Amino acid sequence: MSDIQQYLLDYDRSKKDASVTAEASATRLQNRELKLLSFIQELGEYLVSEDGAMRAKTMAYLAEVLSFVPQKVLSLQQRNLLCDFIVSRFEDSEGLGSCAKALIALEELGKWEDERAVMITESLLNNTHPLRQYKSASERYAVLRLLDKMMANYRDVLRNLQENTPGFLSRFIAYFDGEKDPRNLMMVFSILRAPMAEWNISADAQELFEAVFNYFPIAYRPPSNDVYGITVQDLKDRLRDCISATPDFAPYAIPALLDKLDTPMVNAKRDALTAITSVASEYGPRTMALYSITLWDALKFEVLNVQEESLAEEALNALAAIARTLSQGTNGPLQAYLRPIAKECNEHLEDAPTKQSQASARFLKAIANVSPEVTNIVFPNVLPNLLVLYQNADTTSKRRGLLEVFVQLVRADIDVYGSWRSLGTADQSLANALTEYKDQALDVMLNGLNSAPIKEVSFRLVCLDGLLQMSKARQLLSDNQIGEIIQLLHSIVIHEESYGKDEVKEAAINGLVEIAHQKPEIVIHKAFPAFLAELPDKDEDGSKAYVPVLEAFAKLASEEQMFGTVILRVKNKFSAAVKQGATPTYLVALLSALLYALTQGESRLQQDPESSTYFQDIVLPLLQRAASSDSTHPAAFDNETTLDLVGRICNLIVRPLNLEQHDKVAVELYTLFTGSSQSALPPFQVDSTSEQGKTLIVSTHVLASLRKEATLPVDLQVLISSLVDYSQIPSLSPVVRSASLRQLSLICNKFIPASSLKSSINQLLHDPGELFSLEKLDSLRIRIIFAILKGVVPRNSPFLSTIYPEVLAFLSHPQYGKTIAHGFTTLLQPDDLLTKVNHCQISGLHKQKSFALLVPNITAIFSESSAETKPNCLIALSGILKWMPFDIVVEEVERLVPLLLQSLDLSGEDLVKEAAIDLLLSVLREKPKVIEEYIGSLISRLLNNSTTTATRRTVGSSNLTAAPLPPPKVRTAALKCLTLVPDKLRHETVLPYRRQVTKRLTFALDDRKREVRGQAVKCRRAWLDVDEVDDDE
Amino acid sequence: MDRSKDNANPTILNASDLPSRRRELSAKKRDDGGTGLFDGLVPAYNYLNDPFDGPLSSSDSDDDSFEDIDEQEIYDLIAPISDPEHPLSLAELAVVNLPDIHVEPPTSPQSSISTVVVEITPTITHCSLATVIGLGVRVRLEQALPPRFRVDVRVKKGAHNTDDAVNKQLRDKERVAAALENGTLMGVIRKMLSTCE
Amino acid sequence: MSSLQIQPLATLSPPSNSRCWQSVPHPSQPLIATACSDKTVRVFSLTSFTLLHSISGGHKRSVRSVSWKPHTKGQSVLATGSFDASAGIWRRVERGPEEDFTRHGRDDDEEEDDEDYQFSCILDGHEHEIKSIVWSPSGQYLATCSRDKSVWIWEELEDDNFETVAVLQEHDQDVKCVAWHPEEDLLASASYDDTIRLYREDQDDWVQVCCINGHSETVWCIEFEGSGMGEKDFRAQKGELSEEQIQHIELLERSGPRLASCSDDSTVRIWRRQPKEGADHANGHAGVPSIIRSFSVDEEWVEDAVLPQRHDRVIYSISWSRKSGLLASTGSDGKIVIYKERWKEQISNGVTAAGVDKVVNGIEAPSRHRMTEWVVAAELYSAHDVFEVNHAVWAKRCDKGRRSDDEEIIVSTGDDGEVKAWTVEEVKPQAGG
Repeated sequence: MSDIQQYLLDYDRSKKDASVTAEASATRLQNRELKLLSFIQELGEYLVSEDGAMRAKTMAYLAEVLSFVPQKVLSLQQRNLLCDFIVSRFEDSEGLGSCAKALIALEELGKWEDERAVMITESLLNNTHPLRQYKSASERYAVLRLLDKMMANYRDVLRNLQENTPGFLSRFIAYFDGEKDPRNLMMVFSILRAPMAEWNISADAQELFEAVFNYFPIAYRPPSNDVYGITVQDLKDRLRDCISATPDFAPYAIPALLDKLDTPMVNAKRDALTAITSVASEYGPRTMALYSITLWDALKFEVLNVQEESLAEEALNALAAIARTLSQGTNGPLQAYLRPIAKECNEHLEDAPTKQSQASARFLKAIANVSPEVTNIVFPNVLPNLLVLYQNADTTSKRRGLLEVFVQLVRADIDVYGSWRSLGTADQSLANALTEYKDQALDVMLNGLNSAPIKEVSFRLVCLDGLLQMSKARQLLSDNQIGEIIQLLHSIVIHEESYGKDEVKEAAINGLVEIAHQKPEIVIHKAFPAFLAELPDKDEDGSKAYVPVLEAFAKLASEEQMFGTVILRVKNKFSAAVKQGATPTYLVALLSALLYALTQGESRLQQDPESSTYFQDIVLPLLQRAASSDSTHPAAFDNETTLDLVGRICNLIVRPLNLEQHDKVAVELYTLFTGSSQSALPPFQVDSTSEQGKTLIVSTHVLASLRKEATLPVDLQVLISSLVDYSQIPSLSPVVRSASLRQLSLICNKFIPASSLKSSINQLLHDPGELFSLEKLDSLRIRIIFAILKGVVPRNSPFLSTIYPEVLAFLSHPQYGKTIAHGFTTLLQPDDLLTKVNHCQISGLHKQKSFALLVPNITAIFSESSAETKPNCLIALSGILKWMPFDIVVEEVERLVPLLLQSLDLSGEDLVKEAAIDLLLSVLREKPKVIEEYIGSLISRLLNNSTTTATRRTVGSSNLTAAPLPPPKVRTAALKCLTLVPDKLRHETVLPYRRQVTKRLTFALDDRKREVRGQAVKCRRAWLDVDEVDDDE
Repeated sequence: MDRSKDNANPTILNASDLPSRRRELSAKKRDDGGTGLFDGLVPAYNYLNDPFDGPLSSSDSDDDSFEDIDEQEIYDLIAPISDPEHPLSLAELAVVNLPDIHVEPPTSPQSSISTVVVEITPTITHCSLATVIGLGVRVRLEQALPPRFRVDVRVKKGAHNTDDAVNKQLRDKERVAAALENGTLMGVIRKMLSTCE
Repeated sequence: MSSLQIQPLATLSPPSNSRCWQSVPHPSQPLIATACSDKTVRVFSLTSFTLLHSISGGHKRSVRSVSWKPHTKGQSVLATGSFDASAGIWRRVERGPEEDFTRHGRDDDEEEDDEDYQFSCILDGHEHEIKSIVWSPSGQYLATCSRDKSVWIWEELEDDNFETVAVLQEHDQDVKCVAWHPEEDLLASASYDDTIRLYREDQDDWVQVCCINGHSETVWCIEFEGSGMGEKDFRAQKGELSEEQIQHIELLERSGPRLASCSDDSTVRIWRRQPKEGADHANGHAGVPSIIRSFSVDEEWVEDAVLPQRHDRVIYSISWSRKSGLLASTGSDGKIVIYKERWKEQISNGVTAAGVDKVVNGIEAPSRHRMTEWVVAAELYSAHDVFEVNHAVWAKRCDKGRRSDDEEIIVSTGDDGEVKAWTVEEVKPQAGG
């Protein structure tokens, strides 16, 4: 059987097999087993068949064979022969697609001479016009691909053809009429793009334009089974490229697009606007000059009368695009375009602040930041008027409205001319167009900010913003002028009395920081003296005036040129204050400022820690003062908070030092450079004074800062056991106890080497430490157990798998089960000392590990254990889950939900409830399906934790609460969770509960706490919005 | 798009000038005139809530003290409602104003019914949407206030041409109830309330 | 100085989760039907105070008003008026009074189709919400009124075949309530336009015969006095009556049943028809066209009394006891107030007189001297907790606890979706007058 027969046989059964045959034929052609002539003759008999399908398949065979034939097999003459043959087949209504494919294959075997290209195009147009007569989209697609190829490879040929054959183009355009298939449309658009952009189409411009614009706006939703992955956006983009391809379209495109603006359909509008934008940027200045004003008149409404924000945005883009294009041309048209805009804006400014004055601000901003050419026209046309209006304005709100516009212009100015530290779009040599008005504007705003009544918040904020922007604008203000601004700002910070949310004060501080970024030296020069003047060495009068100053001062440290100076000044002020015996509050404030400043500039601390003198200048004196018992020991340092701050400051500075320096510090860890003997001090001396005890707070932070290679002042086991004993002293203050416990955690984490971890921990828990012995168990020892665990857990040691079960076993302990249960929350609780920066060993996976080791066990214990123990399990569980990232919990969530719900029944365990609710919240967010089956009990429990069922009789009296409710925080959380239910669960699941929930919530609306009521309102709305299906309307 | 609005160009207040509760609170919190910059320096969870001892509750101190529903709270409930014709809030448009809100205690010791009176000021005196706005305010408050409150929404005297007619409608429970069963109208109200958080 | 006390008897269970508008007792059976905003009507037993039937599926919006057809044999016929602008007629075969004892306690799901109320026909015509629906005492006519400002009168020619006999469009605002005269085919309607209007048939044509302007705000509810109350209320207590008093009684006799109304102006007012010389409408057999024709149909109704003002918000409903002549009112302030009429002090003993004065002064009508006075007999706060009370009605007491065959209870209906039954008891012997 011949190949062709084989092929035809397979064709319908399996394309694949057919292709194999075709490939075979190709090879035979290649090694001359098959003569081209006989090959074609073989086809002949099938091509005369009555059966059209047969003929089509035959051509398909030909096309496929050719596609398999490698280069150089066919001679030019043979290719021409084939080409003529194929072209002759155009007359056949069948197999056109394959003809096209065949030609494409052929073309790839060798370029055609121009005449041939022309011939092919011509006969294609002559025989197959219009293309839509061929019903199969893929057949048309093949033809379009062929034409696209021609456009790509024979563009000039076709251009000449078009120029020398009258009517060609319109025939060409008409050829594609009525194409609907998205994939083909993509082709058509790209085929037509070339003539649009490159040919001389003046005569046919309109026809050509309409050919594509007919498809506007494109509303197409890809079929679910879409194989070509063509999105509606692809189509839109291609179409837009066509529309903006040539200025010749302008006379048709612009009216047509404006016309579309009047449609109510938002999407069509958006397309029209984006099209206008690209048209405006493509058609070039000379064309746009003709339409700029028409466009403005139409586009402005989208902004003056916002129908939808996105449309307004796009309209502004379009207006800006026009300005940009016109900026490239001569000045006249730009003037002509901008004048009416400026005029209209000026009119709207008359009655600021209104929707339209705000719109004006948007216009001006959008246009002004396009180019210096624009600013040079806009500013002179708007600013004088604006300033006049300002002078004559009768209300503050009007002045505010006007300045809002001004600020927008300054921002635009910065975009164009840049700021002190960054260049703008404009050429640097250009003078800033704002210069002419800067002095007047500066006065206006300095004045406004300075003299306006303090309650005019928004007005003063605008002034402040304006000043700030001006101070940034490149080459605009003189240093003196900037100085004036700075002076005003710091005097606000220092002298102005606090009002409302202190928005102005805060803005002033941040303003200073921003200016410091642009002009550090001026700030140091102007603001620092003023600030320091406000900081007394000793605070007699007990006034707290220094607080805002310190805040501002500390904030300035975030600006790196400021950092060093700020630290220095604050430190000096501190030592002065100590000498003068200032009050603890003042010292705390100074330390806080210092700490804040240091955290701001932490990066700088790391840069070259050794070279810095901070250790000498700050850490040493602080430590000695803290530890000293003589007169140099300020009373303030008996205050635990103060010591905590001291500790943190030292921690920040010591942390980055190198190991050798760490060793020096480590030796003095407990003596704190006082030279006193360590053994007399806590934790080694159990009966030391409470003052001495407090130094543990400091040493804890220092210990935290040390590298784990640092050598501790005593043998590890000794230190550990002394800490264990010390932590058990009943009389310790909570803070000191906690400090000593945290030292334990730190040591277990950092300093016990992995090799000996198991043994040394076991020594503590079992022999000789016996922490685990049931008889000796008490709450102090339980804390120690968890302190130790807390250190071990992040190390992710395999040894946990043996300790955890032992601890879990205690959950059933009659007396201390509950205490143990509560301990679990400490294990994974975030801790600011056990961190990587503190050189701790934090394994990335330790949470997963603990989860895996604990949660399944607890659930197991829960199911077996007695009614007394069950609550403990729930408590422990929530203690762990509380700190667990949801993506870890999610694995187990199906099994956890029932337990979480039960923990909502525990009374008195508010933290547990809170945690449970938080978790349920995330379950609702991430995995609502899981909750669905429990919805009933979820809802009732949440309600029980958030509302009473008794109404509040009369205001203020408290004879309401039937059952005691959990604290506000829990109530709020429960309501939050309940709020989420309706929009996370399926409508039909939720609906049955609607009435009961909304009714019950009316009680929560009367909660005694505002915060709770607030959430109740949200919650009730969410539920009210759950609609019963309305059978009417 | 509609270019025919009752008031296409209303005056707009700025958010910072609107009365707010946080104002008093922060004032109370900070006697030192600072902004609380340093408050966060020492993380709260370290020493302060040791789960082992003390009350194991997140108890925010005084739960028994009542924070009564006052004018400001009512204002905060209705301020964010958006105007049916502008994408702006009733507060920004000064349609609702704190001084025009009054909470009246029960008229007799035996009664536990308090009354909330809200007077709205339509942006212009012939605003055809006054009723809708009023309805929106009433609906919002009836959804958000406990049932012991009676809600009276009125148009401020002189602020509207047909204020009596409007007020009578807003007073009429039966009409309001029926209106709320009207899907189309409810759609409008929903949209207005959608900006309430 | 109240002489009566309102005591909670029962809350009909289960309560609805959403606002209920009105509850109407069955004329003969121990049943009461409640119109509910959840588009249903709930029929409760007044002996067990439990839900017997929940009638749903007929209306697309709130059911605002219901009315039992009087004098029906072997079946109950219920008319419902809804915010969906349509009225519905429902029927159910009754199995005698003991039926609900056997039923009581049974599961609802057992009450299936044939036991349930069958939707039998719908009356369309109103453009907007129907706000009130009432059968005429004879059962011949059914009156409805609506926000579309119109009052419709329907006549039931035979079962389920209703004909519109009149569409009355006298009001210029919503019509809130309609009520039938107990003896004559005289219909009254109350409206959002602050007026009350009365209509009767004149040459086969229903026409307005009187318009009462007296309230300064929306009139929410009106009800006629019962028939032949002379035998039951204060007039009944014999003993030496003064000339004027006897005349007054005769005057009332000739005027016939009076009309009570309540309004958003927080007042309850009583209206009396001025008898026409010669003509005597008062007797039961009056109102026959042949007699009326010879006179102009117009009537004059005058204010007979303004009751002591005890509500400080809109009054939604009043109910005039057919047994005792006591009048009950309720409204937005959540109170239920009972008023009683009595001869003025000349015969009331000193003890109360002092106290009375206060009240009397409160109600002293400007112009005309009155023979009788209305005093507050009982006052109940927060009947439905903090919620508004939409309706309160007198009903025959039927539960086992009842003390006499004609003891009456008050049934109130509230925004909380609850329907509550209240007993009314004398407190102190010396009180009451």
